[in-house]
Amino acid sequence: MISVNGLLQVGYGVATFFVGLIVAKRLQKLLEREYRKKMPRGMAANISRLSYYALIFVVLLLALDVAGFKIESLLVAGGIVGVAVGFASQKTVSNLISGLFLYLDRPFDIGDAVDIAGTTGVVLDITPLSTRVRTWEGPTVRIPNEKVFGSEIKNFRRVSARRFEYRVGVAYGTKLDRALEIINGVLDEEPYVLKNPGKDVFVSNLGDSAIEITVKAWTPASKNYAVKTRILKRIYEALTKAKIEIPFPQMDVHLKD
Amino acid sequence: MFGRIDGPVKRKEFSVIRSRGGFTYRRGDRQVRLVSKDIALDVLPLAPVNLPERITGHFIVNFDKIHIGPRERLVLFLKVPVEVGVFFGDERIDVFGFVKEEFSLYGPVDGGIVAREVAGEEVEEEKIKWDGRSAVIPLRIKNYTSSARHMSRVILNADYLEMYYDGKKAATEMVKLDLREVPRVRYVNKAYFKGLKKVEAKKQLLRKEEVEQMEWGL
Repeated sequence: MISVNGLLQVGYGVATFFVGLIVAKRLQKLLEREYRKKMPRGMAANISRLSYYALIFVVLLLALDVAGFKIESLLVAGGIVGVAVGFASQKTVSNLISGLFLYLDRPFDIGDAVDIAGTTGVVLDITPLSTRVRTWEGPTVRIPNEKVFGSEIKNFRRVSARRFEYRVGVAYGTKLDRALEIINGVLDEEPYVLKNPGKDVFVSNLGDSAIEITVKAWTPASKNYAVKTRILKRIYEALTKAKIEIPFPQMDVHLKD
Repeated sequence: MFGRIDGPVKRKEFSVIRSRGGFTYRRGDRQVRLVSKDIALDVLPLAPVNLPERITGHFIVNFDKIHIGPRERLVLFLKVPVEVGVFFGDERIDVFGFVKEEFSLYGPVDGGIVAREVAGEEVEEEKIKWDGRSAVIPLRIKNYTSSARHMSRVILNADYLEMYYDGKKAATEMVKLDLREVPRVRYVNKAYFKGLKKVEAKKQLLRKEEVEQMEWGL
């Protein structure tokens, strides 16, 4: 038989829980509003939700204490469960913490062209647990934040200009000044080859089968791929038109009698 | 050159002829069919940032090097090539230019600005020859520092630069280059040459008076 005092205690406990619930909910909204000023909407929502659950846990303990339950034994049981859950959610927590560090470090933003651990494409979304990248081939890749944070990240959006480089082989006997002039001419015709920093075209190696000419030029970052692919074809066409041979690897074998 | 076209026309650069139920705009291989009883095309000068396609709003105007003493000021009139935009209502149906496009990086690779490069020819205000292919930029340079400075270029933002026109005339608002520790460029947002019409904001992407720094040198 529960005494009147006992019933009152339970009543106080229930009241404490509901008051705590209202306070926690309001606090969550307040925190979310404040976080939104400083971080992306998704991340603000998730952090404020975590804060809410932590508060609910504290409120629950407080309510049980007010209701007259012995929370020490509950805490011991909760601790054991917590350890088990902790082990199970190790990866999740690691991803979450990495997500927070990514937010602080900000190596990229949504919309940036990136290379994360060999996955190249455009960042679609950054959630507390993972980063989604739409690859150049089309499919979307979800990379856990733990992996993102621990990887080498190349951000192509943050650079204004990018350089490309080719090695073009011409046959021995080629008039090199003429070959350099032709390649320079092709680069000069392309508007997106930047005037400054300037291009660099020079003989870089006397190879086994060809004299190598190195071609280096800068382009606006957004035009790098298009220009790089366009120019190489034009160099080939211009050299071919000028009857400059581009040799392929070959070996002369002399047989002794 | 600049202004409204309200009927068939044949010019060196382009032509507009009557065709099935409307008009056809032609420039070289480019042909645009315009379905309308009446034709009203606006031919407007644009800042040189749209060709071959718009990848930047900035352009660098190079001019002969000038040395300016401490606290001194001067006004230069720089003639720069423009691009010509042909508009059917608010829709741009063509844009063309008269010079080869060249681009440079202003500043470091990480954080610098890719800008179109154009040559600025210094002209005297009284002897300007309006040619319908270039615009005059009145550039006021003031050295606020206590040492002599030199410069040979200014970087401008087409989004902030107002353009004015009439017939063969095209000019921008006055641009102020303040030489301080970090030089800065200001846009006055007011016509310098009187009697010219303003290119509408939505066609030129204009904003209010703005200030930009030239933190990577003059």
